Amino acid sequence: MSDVNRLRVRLDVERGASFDIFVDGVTVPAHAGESVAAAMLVAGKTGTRRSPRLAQLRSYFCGMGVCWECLVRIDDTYLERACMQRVRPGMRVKTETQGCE
Amino acid sequence: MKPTDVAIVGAGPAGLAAAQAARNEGCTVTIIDDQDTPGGQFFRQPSALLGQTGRDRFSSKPAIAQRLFRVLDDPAVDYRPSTTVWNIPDSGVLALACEGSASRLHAKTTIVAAGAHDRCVPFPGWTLPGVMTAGGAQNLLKGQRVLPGQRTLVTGNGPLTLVVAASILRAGGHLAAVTEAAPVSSRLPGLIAGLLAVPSLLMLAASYRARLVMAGVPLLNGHTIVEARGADKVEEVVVARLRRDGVPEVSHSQTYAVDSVVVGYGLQCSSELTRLAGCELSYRQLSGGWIPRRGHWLESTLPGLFVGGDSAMISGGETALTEGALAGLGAAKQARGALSAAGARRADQLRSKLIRLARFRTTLEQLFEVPASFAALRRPDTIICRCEDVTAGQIEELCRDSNLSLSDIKTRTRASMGRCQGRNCLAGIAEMVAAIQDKSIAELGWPRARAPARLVPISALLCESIKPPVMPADPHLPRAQPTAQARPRPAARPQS
Amino acid sequence: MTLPSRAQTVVIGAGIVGVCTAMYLAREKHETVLLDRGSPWSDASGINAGTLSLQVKAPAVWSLCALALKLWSRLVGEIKGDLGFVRSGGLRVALDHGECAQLAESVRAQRAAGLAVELLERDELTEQAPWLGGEVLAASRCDEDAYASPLLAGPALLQAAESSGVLVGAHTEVTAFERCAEGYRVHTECGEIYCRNLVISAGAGTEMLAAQLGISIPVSADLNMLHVTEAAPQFMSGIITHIGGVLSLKQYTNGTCVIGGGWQGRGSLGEPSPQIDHENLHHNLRIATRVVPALRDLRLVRSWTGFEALAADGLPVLGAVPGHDGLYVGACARGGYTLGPAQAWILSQQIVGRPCELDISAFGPARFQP
Repeated sequence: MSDVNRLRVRLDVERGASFDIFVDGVTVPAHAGESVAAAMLVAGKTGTRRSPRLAQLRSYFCGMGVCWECLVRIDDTYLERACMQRVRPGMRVKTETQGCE
Repeated sequence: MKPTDVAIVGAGPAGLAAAQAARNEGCTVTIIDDQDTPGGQFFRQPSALLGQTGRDRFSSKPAIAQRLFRVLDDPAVDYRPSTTVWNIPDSGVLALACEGSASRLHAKTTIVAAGAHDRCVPFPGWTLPGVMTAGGAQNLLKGQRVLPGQRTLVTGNGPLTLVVAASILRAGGHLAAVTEAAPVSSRLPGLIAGLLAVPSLLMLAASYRARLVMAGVPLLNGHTIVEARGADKVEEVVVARLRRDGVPEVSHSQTYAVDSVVVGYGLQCSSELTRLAGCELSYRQLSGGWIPRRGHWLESTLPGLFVGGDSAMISGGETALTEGALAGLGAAKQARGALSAAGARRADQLRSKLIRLARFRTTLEQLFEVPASFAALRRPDTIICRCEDVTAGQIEELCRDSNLSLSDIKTRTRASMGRCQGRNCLAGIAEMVAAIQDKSIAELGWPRARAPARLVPISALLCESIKPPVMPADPHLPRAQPTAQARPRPAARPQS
Repeated sequence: MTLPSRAQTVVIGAGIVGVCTAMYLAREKHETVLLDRGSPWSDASGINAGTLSLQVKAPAVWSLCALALKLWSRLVGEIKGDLGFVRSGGLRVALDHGECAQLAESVRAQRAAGLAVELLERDELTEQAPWLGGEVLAASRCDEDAYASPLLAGPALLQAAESSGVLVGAHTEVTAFERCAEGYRVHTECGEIYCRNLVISAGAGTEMLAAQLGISIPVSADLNMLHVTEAAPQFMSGIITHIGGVLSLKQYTNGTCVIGGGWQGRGSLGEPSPQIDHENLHHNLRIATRVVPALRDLRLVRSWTGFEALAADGLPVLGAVPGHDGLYVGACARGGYTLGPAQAWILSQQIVGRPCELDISAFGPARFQP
């Protein structure tokens, strides 16, 4: 599991205790203040949505909310960009949405 | 409700500097930003919850940043985070939407400081998970304190490439290599002259290179990525040298095993709002695409609407801070009728500084100029419109018919009709069409701007309180009030 | 395209009426030139919601509309390209008791005229269209209702017209025309052309063109707003309209939803770009979400306002112009996108000398003469 956290930078940061979110049912540790995208990337769950026509797996791209590639389903309700969505304890994230399937 | 003196779109360096300058002149200010944390891209910072400890909360200009952010605590400043400005229906009216609320803001003056977004250069495999823009990598590093991957290739063109690469190193990441498309080192003598205009930036550039060299990272000038490969995510990349004509030498390519690719081919101005508002724009590739015509207070051709920072012209953080302040003073002057003596003096100083910075920017543009439009990178099956899966081949086939406008190509392929509203693809499509039809991009024009400037939830729009409607008595009869007379109008030029 | 010096028929205005008229004529081996001052299909035909509804039409055009829907359906088989035509069926909804009464009356009259519409009560709706909100008290269903995206239909029809032999002159504005021995002499920016027959199917431009020969056809322009959402999983089928004529709603196969209903934007014909009206946008979205609550969860991607040219009585201007042999008009109908192929068919038949199967006397182009 130590591998999973390698992408979190330690320099100048003192993160609070982590809590769990669930990405496609898999437990992913996250810290308050992180985006869903960051937590997913650290856990190695890179794929977010599938493109509409060719069903290509896409992922985090621009990080600022303009490209809409990181679209995921939050808590079985709304679709939101993973980079614009902060994590909440127990949040359920579903990937591979084509947004029209 | 009384209109605010100055409405500012964007809480990045230009917007914050504008707010500060306007406040110093006694203006009421409303500042609207779509992120939940201020700073834009340049001052991207982690959420307070992330427990940032070091004095370097900001990797650039921390002292200035701290000072600027204090303006958001000023009681005369109405700061609206996580809010989208989705339309500017009239000069002095902004349509706002956020979760659970929508409203129209009335302002005596408006400053658009909406920044920029990454330019997209399509190449085979660029849509693979693990491939992200330079902005995306910076947002991970600065905003999340997360590395883009365990082994990263940074590829691009322009000074930001070095900045991102150095940031990754500093954060403890591993770089497979860094490629810069321009053959920079051969132009070093020219670099010195221009950079002397802003010596601090010269030092910074040199230190970035030094860090990379010391870490043993291969720095390949005059090279570019030609392909990213992998099954469900990127696993390796191919880089090659660029010939003078902009075609990569695929016969002499190198392959690196990576799990992430950071792509930085420059920025484009976020001009959606200014276009929608009706500002006159002209096309300048090197400046970031469509840029507004502005006066010496940075007012656009729409009276009362000012534009500053990267959304007016790609020019970096220093210029954004300077322009923001000047636009803030210009707006204050208009909103209050006059400036203080100190304000007027400061405006002159800011203009002098902008002239100096412009020289630096021109030097950078020349330095990092590449022979290519990177057209040679794409193959027929390379995705151009990411949202709707439109390929280069589809677009190329259509645009051989030189009667087809950019709008025609859009409606026939659905390119740029997805959620990103063309931010990722339209500029690249315009370049393709212009090249094939042998036209300039200015000639080609741009599809007509339509609201919303950004996606807005219907649930938010329903929250605005509006008087009940007047229903048509007979739905079959004309409804326009007052009846619009049919008058002859000029034939539409092929750009809308 | 170099303008030929003569043609049997010149059609002015390449919207749905013009394109189809030209196509039908060309199929009869009739030399036809189709002119447009801009890009073909760029005005009302190119920017509407694509709704093809029989139910919402005024009684005076029911027969014309029935013919139109038959022709739309037939075009699918006749044309090579994809028209995007979907015979989805449609529901016309009522949201309060007053509207229910209106709907019942309308259904009664429609059925008496032989239209295949059926009134559905709340429990049937819950079963057949679970996406409808609880405020929908009743709806009439018509299986003939359909839609065809203008983005698909336009290029397909234009292609078909050209393959049939129509010469299309885009960006060729007609500056004047007059009677002459052989019929009409038409002046354009690209030269003159003589023709036996002249069809004016120029939407808003019809008024000025007709005035060339002293024919008065007062045209006004509605500014209809339309809104498109992001793509969503298919959650509704069939088009939705409203008894009060203020809603049109459909979900395309790509998942996007198009919301319309004739809510007016802002602008006038002289201005280059009409704007949306914020109040009316709100009203449109409010009624749409009352009827289909699931829309509330979607984001708006694009809104626009388009001009729809209309005669004062909302009825089509259709047919030969009395006293002007060889001059025809086909324009300005409310619901003109639906009616287009029928208007075109009738004009083409008249031009080649066949009797008209429908009574179009109410649509006469001379009815506005003082």
